[in-house]
Amino acid sequence: MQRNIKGVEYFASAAPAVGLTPKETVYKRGTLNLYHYRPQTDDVYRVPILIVMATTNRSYVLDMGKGFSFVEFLLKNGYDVYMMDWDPPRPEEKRLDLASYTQDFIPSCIRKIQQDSGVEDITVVGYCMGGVLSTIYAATHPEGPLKNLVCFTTPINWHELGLFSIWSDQNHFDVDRLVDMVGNVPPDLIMTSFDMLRPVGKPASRLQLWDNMWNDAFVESFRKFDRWANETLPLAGEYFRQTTKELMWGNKLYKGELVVGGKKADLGAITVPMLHAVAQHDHIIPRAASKPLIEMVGSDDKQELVLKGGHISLVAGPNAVGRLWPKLDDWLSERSI
Amino acid sequence: MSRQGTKSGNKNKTSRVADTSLSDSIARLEERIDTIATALMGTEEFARTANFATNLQLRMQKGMAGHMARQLALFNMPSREDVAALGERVMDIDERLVRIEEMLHQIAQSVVVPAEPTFSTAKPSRNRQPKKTAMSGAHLNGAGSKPSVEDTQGSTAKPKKQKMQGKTADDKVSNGHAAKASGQKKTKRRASVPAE
Repeated sequence: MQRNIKGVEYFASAAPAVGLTPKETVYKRGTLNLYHYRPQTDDVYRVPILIVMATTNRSYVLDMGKGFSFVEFLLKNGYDVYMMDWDPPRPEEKRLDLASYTQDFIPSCIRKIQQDSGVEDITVVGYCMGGVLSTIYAATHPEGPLKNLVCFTTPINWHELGLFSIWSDQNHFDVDRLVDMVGNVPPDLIMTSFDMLRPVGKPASRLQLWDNMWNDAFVESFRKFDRWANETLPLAGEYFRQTTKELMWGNKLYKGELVVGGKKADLGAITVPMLHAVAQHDHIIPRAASKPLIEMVGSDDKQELVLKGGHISLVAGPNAVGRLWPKLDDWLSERSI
Repeated sequence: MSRQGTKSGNKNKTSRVADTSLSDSIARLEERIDTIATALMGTEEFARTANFATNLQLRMQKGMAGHMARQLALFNMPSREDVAALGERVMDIDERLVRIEEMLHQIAQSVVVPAEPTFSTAKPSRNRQPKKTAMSGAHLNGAGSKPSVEDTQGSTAKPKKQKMQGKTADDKVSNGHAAKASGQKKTKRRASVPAE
């Protein structure tokens, strides 16, 4: 009975609000948005943080609501937080490639942050593909101004990406034809490939929603994450083509052969303090794909955290609140002064 | 009265047990189907068929787009490609402006005496120091490439924690920390990450 009443409420109510932590857009260029979140403490750590969001998804997964917002957690613990978020690339932005993201967007944002904060050093935090972009940036800019590098669930050995590797086998998958025809890769294609990794994940989660319809906290959380998962972004055509050819087929980042914007991305050239947090039950980025990162970087001060959870619950939701966030704060606070 | 209370208590208990068993059954069923489906989708045949279907869909889409472009040309209206070409030109101008802005900034820096950072008085100071917590140094030893595995089942790495009444010492600190940060009471909440 309670379920039925709540069920009616569920369908009648508006979508839950997300990404509400106060912020301002300090830089905007096509698909790129650079947000600066308003500090929430009287004093902040000297080194600001730049979060690089995955190019496939909206950044509000890191700002889901009071008490469950990674951004809010960082602000309340005294960090100055900036975020690179992505709008859907426009048709003319199909020509953006790996160099655009790693040699143009990230350096431009870092310059903006330096101007805005008056501080030279920056900590870069990358999530998933944002971690790959951050790593490539760090590897191609060993001279700085990077102070710390933090990656969450970042694939390096792309030949270990399981089903993704099989589906994008160059014997069957004609990436040139796809990109030439569609320009930017449509979000449906990306979302379907994610869903296919767990084919009954969606129906099962609907059943779980029904089972927990009486539980307001569960329903609210479900709706927020469901909204986020359904807002997958298209990918810029050339970026997708290059990622498929250079990373997925050639595995060049792992082999140390990747050249971006005329610069070689040598992971051994990364010498700044580095933290890599990975999830034990990550169905998108298997452990074998992410494991080599910490082994290959040249930093003396480096650490890998293997935490319980999945690809998303590692960084957002109740699991992250109790596990990753406090550990990250411990690691980062003493390296942000 | 008390008998009625016991009855309703039993009813609630039964309902909770039923809920848990339903949830467990869903999880088990999901796991089983996913295992079978993953085995099926991990084959070369599946990859070939899926890519063939995608190509077919793309070809149909391209045919439709061509047809639509011809119709639009007939009515003297711009097609999607025309609009995209205009967008590309705007993007070129935008990029040029960004480069000019960067150059102007560099020139301004080399000519003018560097000003103080544009701090308004409302901005916080940057003097914060890390707090000395029990966790500092307990599991974050900084150097070394060995992974620090927390709560890992079947892992060879030994956790550096002391058991405290069914919880680990780290878990206790972590939960307290998070509750403090979020400004919420430590209440047990069932919530999910449905996207996973």
